Parts: sequence; structure tokens; C-alpha cells
Amino acid sequence: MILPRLTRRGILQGMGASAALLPFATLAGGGGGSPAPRRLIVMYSPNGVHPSWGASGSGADLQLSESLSPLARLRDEICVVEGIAFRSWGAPEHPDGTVACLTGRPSGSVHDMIGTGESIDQRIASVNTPPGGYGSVNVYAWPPCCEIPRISFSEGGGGVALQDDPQQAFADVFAGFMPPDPDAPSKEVPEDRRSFLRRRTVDVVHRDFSRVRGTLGTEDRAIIERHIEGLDALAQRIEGTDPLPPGSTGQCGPIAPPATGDSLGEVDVAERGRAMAQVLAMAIACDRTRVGTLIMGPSSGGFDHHDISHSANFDEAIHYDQFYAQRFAELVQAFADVGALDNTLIMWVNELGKFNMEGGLADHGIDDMPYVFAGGLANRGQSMRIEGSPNHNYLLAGVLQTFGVDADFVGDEAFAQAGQSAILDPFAA
Amino acid sequence: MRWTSLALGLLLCGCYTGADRTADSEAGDSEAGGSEDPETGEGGTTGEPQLPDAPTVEPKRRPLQHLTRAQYEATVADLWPGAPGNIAGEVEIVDPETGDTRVLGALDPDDVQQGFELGTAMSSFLPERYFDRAEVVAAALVEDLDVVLPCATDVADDTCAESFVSTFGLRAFRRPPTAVETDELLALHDEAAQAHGFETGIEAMAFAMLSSPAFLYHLENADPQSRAASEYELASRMSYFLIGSMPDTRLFEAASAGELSTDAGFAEQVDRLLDSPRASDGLYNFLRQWLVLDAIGALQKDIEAQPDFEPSLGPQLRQSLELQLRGLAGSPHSSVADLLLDESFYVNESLAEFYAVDPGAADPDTYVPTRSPHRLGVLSHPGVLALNSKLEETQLVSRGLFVRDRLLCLPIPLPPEDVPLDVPDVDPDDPPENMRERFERHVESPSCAGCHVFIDPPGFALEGYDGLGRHRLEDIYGPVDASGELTGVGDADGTFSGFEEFNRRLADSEIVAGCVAERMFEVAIGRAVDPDDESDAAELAFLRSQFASSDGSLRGIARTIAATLSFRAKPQQ
Repeated sequence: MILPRLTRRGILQGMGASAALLPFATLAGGGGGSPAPRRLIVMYSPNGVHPSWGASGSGADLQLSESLSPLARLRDEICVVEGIAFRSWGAPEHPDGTVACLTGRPSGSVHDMIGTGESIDQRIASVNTPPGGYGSVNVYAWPPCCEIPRISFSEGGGGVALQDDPQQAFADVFAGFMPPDPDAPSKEVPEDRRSFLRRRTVDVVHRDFSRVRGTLGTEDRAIIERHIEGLDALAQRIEGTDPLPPGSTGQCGPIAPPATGDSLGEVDVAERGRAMAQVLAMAIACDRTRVGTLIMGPSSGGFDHHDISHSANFDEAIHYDQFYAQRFAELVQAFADVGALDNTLIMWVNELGKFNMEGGLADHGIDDMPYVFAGGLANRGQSMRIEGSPNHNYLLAGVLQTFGVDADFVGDEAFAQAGQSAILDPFAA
Repeated sequence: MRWTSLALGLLLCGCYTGADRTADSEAGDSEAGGSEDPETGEGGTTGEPQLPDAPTVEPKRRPLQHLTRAQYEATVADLWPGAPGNIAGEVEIVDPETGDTRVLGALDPDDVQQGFELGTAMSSFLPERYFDRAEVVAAALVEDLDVVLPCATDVADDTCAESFVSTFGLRAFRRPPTAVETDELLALHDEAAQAHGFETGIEAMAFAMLSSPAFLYHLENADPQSRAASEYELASRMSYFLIGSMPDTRLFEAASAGELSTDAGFAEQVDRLLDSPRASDGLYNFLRQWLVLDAIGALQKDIEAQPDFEPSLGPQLRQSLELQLRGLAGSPHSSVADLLLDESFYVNESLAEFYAVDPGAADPDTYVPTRSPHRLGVLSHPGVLALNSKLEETQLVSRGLFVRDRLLCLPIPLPPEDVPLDVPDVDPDDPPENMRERFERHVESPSCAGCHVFIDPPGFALEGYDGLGRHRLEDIYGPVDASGELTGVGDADGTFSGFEEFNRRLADSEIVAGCVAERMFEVAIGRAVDPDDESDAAELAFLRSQFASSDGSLRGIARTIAATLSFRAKPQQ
């Protein structure tokens, strides 16, 4: 008798067991003649930043503003970019800014975060999914509360759901996963009934989805294609395809995400952020995915950050700039810890820019957006101001090009600027 | 063990015809469907049921959606009552042989628009979550093979397997399986049966059907050339809207007999479902989304600013409001006014203490309806009030916007770019006397007043409740003043001295009833409506025009919605 029952904390025990099963394996890089796969991680934080946010100089002379001081020890690992505008909507509102972050398109609804086109992380995931792995791992560092920001959308505009429980995020990525042991003798295991059922059934279902795909118009096809991609990877997992293709680098080892608190205090949120950063870093190191997003705070909410960002006390926002910079530093460190920074671009985005200051009060700004990049695919140890106030649609195109996707512009053509081309300076050649 | 007795009943029949929680099987003593509506006289002199004549519009495309979490839960329960409960959430599976446990992560949260769930969200994990659940349900299904099979288990042969595909397949796909699908499934059965026995063959087919696009998605592409929605498409639309789940046996029969493409046959089934006990599931499903009940269950507050808040409050408030909404949804003539005037406030022991009401027979786990002069209708439910407050305090603006959006359907345009969006901080040299005055200063500027004259009054009316929904006479500034004036909202315009008078204005308003109808219409057709669009506006006007000739009940609104072409017809391909 199978006894399914609801549980939340039961996962903790199940996860502990899985973690213990993961042996430490250092993976050889660059084998097999194929180029090493590239990986994209995006961190999002809300509410814009203090007007003094930024950096100057480069190399040993890289100077960080107070807002970015938590990144000081990582100055050789980061690239701070200013000067990009973010005009993806008529009125600069939180839902539009959030939806536009990675799509370059405004929200389909004034008050809700409704996608109207594909985000760059999903575009990259669609051409860069590891065999037997997942297109993208999308996680949220807050306890369930408030309006959950959405920055990832599939081609049809449907949202990519976020996992808000670090233990479940870990279970999702590593359930049933065993890194191959090159020293283990190969042996034929007779297929059991369950494996047989799953293997044969996934084939039939896959064919079923493919038939349906052919009957749909382009607008409806995207969600079915994503489903088929998920079935492809599932079939590979069921077949036991090597989940670690040559070319991966890093250390795929045991992790045990810390128990995380449920309160909305800064300590608990930071703890959840670290747990999620570890899950993402290990997912990349084990090549379970090549794309991840980490949403660090709720759009237009979160502590008293939103209130401060609209008040005369806007200098207090530096505290939150630092809070999120610290989270970014920990994210980069989590990747460094498992040797997964090479071939990786870590990108920090915000739904709004430096505060627009009028009459002594802060308000939504969209003229100068805060971007920080890190990882081996970033032009590290730099700060740069992009001249001419180009729209972020061109920066998103630069990210796509870094991942081999041909694009000069991403998003709504209404934001195209004559003579402007994809922005490539922040990325390693 | 409701399903066990049901299963036994079917076992006596010796034949599996569908073990669903059918409206028809449970509605035995309710009024027969399709009869003339005594309130409206609909049905005319011919005695045939008839829906009101809806305006002719070109229906818009419905984006392809998978089942929402709530629909998945309800559909699995109807399809196979022996399936694990709460299957859309986290499910722990214990392997009977090894004792190992596996946990299936919860299905993805749905995309939400205007509070309503859309089946458009998709993570990289969702296909596997669906697949794993199909496996679990299929395994549960073959544990009762003698109930499941359309033949005696001792004549388990190919004919029996074929018969299973057509009977179970009809219900799983919500239409008859095609020839290609049938061939694929039978080939799977043959292979599985050969390797592991007949039972595994059946299990494999059920596993595949429950993982298939026809089961998981609202596919409407059977005949792209046809302008009319097919019989089975109509049956699914009708059942997911009216009972929140898959069609019941009678509805499948009507679709099979071609009854739904006639006006009378369509109306007959709409009336039958609305008269059945299952209609309360459909209406509850709407009310749950309308008031964002799930978010109330996950209520969070800033502990430092709200030291009385405990994380257990959210789930208790959710349970309290769910009981109230189920009561309202279950009453055949509940109207929009009833939603606003219902006096039953359900409490368990701790809610009674927290909200200072008589606990009656409540204990920690038993919720009982109680009455309080401060609880009148859903707007004064503390869950609604607490959800639409800030993390730290009450929030006039959040509550005002909620009322504008969910009850008046008059969303406020976003403020101009150069207008600060929050209340200016208090000037320590000239502190305001109360929250009211703080806001009145806020809107002294004409550019603010333009919007806040509409947003703030509903917020004022609810100032008698704190950020956790407790009634209060004073806020941090002093005595609460909950009076105000509604303007720009048609028949609800006028002054009010406090919450009760404000609430009565809303309850008496056709604008409010029309707004609830608009929100229900959006759920029915699976997309947001645009009042500025000509055809959407025509259908909204039609919905409003029917209030006068109906009893104003929620079921009456649903009936009118079912008559619209956006609901019944198919967009041009």
C-alpha cells in the first residue's frame, strides 16, 4: 500500500538522506572536444537604489560607493555598469519594471506581473539545457508572502514559477541524482517494473505531446514546447544518461542547506538567500542546469525598503543597498566555493534605477540602472559607464550574444534607438 | 470513506461507468435540471429551458492553459476517488517494499491576474511533477482493479483493455480518445502486460493518460475548421466554470448525444449543474480567488511592528473565511449583497479570543459561526482586512485599492511620474492629529487629490480595524474617524458615517453587483476583460442588464455568463 501524505518538514529528512548520498567528485574540464557549456545566473533585488550607488576606476583602483561596500573583497571578480536606461514602459511602475528586467517588454497588466514575451534566461535555457537536467532553476529567497516578483517568462508570456523552499529546491534538483563514479565497474542491472513503466510511458507521452504541438498556433505552442523539453530531460534521467557531460567544470559535492527561518526579518531572509545560493551553485557545479535565477526580495515590498525609497529619508536606503550587495557577494562566493565561476555569468538586476530626486523626495528612477556582473564571462575588475543612455534592451542582447544567441536588441521595438547596437563591454571577449 | 461506499456500489454493478462525484448522482432530491426558472420565467412557453439572448460578438482567443492547481486537485478526485488527497500539494510516497520515502514537490503556483488563477505558469520541474503524480494515481487505481475494469477481472483480455481505454479515456481526456491515441495506449498495454502482467498493462495506460496533454491541458483543437466549440469542449468549459472540475456522467452523455450544440440542450445542462450541490464548488472556487484566500493562509507580518502576530493566524483566518464562503456558495440564492451582509463569522477558540467575540462551542479545532456587531460581510472579515494591510500597519491605500478593484471594478490610473507614491513622513514640529489628517494633508495637492479622492474613502471606512483586522476605536494618533464620502461610483455615491453605512451602500449598489459579475466572467472565459473594448463592453452591459430580470443571485450571474458568446463560442482560428 502506498501511503502518500502531506508533509513539509519530512523533506528535511529526505533531503538529508540525498545529501549524504552525493559523493564529492571533481570534474575534468574541457574534455571531449566540445566547448565548455556556459552558465547564466541572475539575481534580482527590488525598489531601485540610492543615487550615490556606483563605482569608479578599475583593477586595484576600483572604488566602490558605500552602497556596494560589501563587494569590496570581490573587487577582482565584478564588473559594475552604470549609464543604462530602462525605458520599457510609459509610467515607471514596479510590475512593469519587474517584467521588463529580462524581457525588455512591459507587463501585460497595470497591477500584475504578466509576461508579454520571452525573458533572456528562458531563451538561453531553451538552447542550453544539460542532458537529463533542467532548463532553469528559479528560486525565491523570501518566505511565502507578498507579491512574488516574476522576471522569467516563456515565449508565450506564461510565468516561470519560483520555488520558495530551499529544501524543496534542493530536492527538486538532486532527487535521485548520483554523480557517476568513474572507478565503479559497470554492471548490468535488470530493469525493475517501475523503471520499465516510467521508461515506456514517458515515450508514449512524449509522442502524444509532439502530436499536439503540431496542431497549435504559434501563440500556444510555447508552453507545450517547454513541456516537451521537460519530458526530454525526464526521459534522459529515466534512461540514466550521464548527467555530467565532458566540459563541465567544478566540484559536484555534498551540500546540506541550512535550516532556514520563516520570519520576514533580515537575518532569516539572508539565511534563505544563502541556502538558495548554495543550491544554485551546486546545481551548476553538477550540471543539473545551466540557468538559474534568485529573487532576493518582493517587488515594491520588503522590510521598510519601499517606503524609504519614496521618502525624504532616502539615505536610509543605503542600508538595503548594502543588504542586497551582501547577498550578491554571498552568491558569488557560493560559486567560488564549488569552483563554478568559470564559464559563468552572474548578473544582478533591479526593477528600478537610481532614485529620481524631486522636491527632496525619492521616487522611481529609470535613467540610470544599477547592474553588476561577476564570473568568468564578465569583464572582471572593471567599472564602466555606458555613454549615450542606451536602453537596457541592448544590454540584454549583449547577454544573449555572450551565450551564442544572435541578437542586437531584446524586447519591445518601441524602445529601439537609432544607431544603437548590442552592448558588449561588460562581457569577457 | 465516501469513495469506498461509492466503489462498493459500483462493484455490485460489475461495471465501471465512472466513479465521479457526479452532480446527478448526488442531486437526487434537488429540483430537476432544465425546468423553468420560477424567478425569471426563463424557458418560455415551449417548456424548453432557454438562456437569455446574448449580444453577438466575435469571441477572442483564449490562451492555452494547463489545469490550475485547484482544477487538477478536483479533476483527479473526480476521476479516481481512491487517489491521494491534496495531490496538488507536496505528497510523500512510502515505497511499500523498501520503506523508502519520496517526496513529490507541490505543483507550481499558478500565474495570477486580478487575483484569478491562470494555468500558464511553467517551471522546468512541472512536467516531472505531473508525470510523478500520474504514476501515483495510476498505482492507486490498479489497487482496485475490480472496480476500475469494465469487465470481470477473470476475463482480463484485449477486449477488456480496449474497453478500459474508451471508458476511462473518455473521462481522462474529457472527450473520446482518437484512433491514434487508442492504438498507442493498447500497444503500451500489450508490452507492459507481456512483461509484468495484465494489471501492469492497465496501470501503464492510466499512467500515460494522466500524463497526457489531453488530460493536463484545456486543449480545444479537435476541429480547427469548426467555428462552433465541439460538444466535448463545451462540456469541459461548462463544468470547469460551474462546478470547478471535469464533466460528470450526465454531461458526457449530453455531449455524446450532441445535445450541447442546441440552445435548449445547453441551457438544460447549465441549469442542471447550477441546481446541483456541485454548483457550490464552482462558486466557492470563484469566491476563493476573488478574495485571495490562499494568500490569507500565508499571511505574514513584520513581527517588530505587529508583536501580536503569530504565523498560525493566517491558516486560522483562512479556515474561518473558507467556512463562511462555502456557506454562502452553498446557499442557492446567495447574492452579491449577501456576500457583504452575511453575519456569520466563524471562529475557533483562539480566533474568538483574539478578535474578542463569544466563543460559543468553539474549541481549538472546531470553528463555529458567531455574530459580532463589528463583523458584517466579507469586507469586515479580519483575514481580508489583514491581507490588505501593510506588513507593519493598516493601510488606507491598500484597502482602498482592493475595494476599487474587487468590488467596484474601477482601477485607479497610476500616479503621474513626478508624484511621490506614499504618505509623506510626519513633520515632528507639526504632527497630525490622526491618520485621517495625515492623509488629508497628503491629498492637498491637486495632482494627488485627483486619484486619492477615489482611493481613500473606502480606506477610511475600514480604519476601525487594525492591521490584523481587530476592531479598534483608536489608532496611534487618537480616536478613529471612519466617515467619508464615496464619489464617482454611480449608485453607491454618498456620505457614510462609518463602516456599516459604507458597507450598506456597496451592498445596495448595482455597480458592485456588476463588478462581481465582471470578475466572475473573467474566470469563466480565462482572460481579463477590457471595458474599453467594444465587444467586451457589450457583454458586460449584457451581464448588468440581466440583474433586473433575475434574482441577482450568484447562480443567476453564472447562468447569464454561460449564455455569452465569449463563453460558448470559439474564436476564429
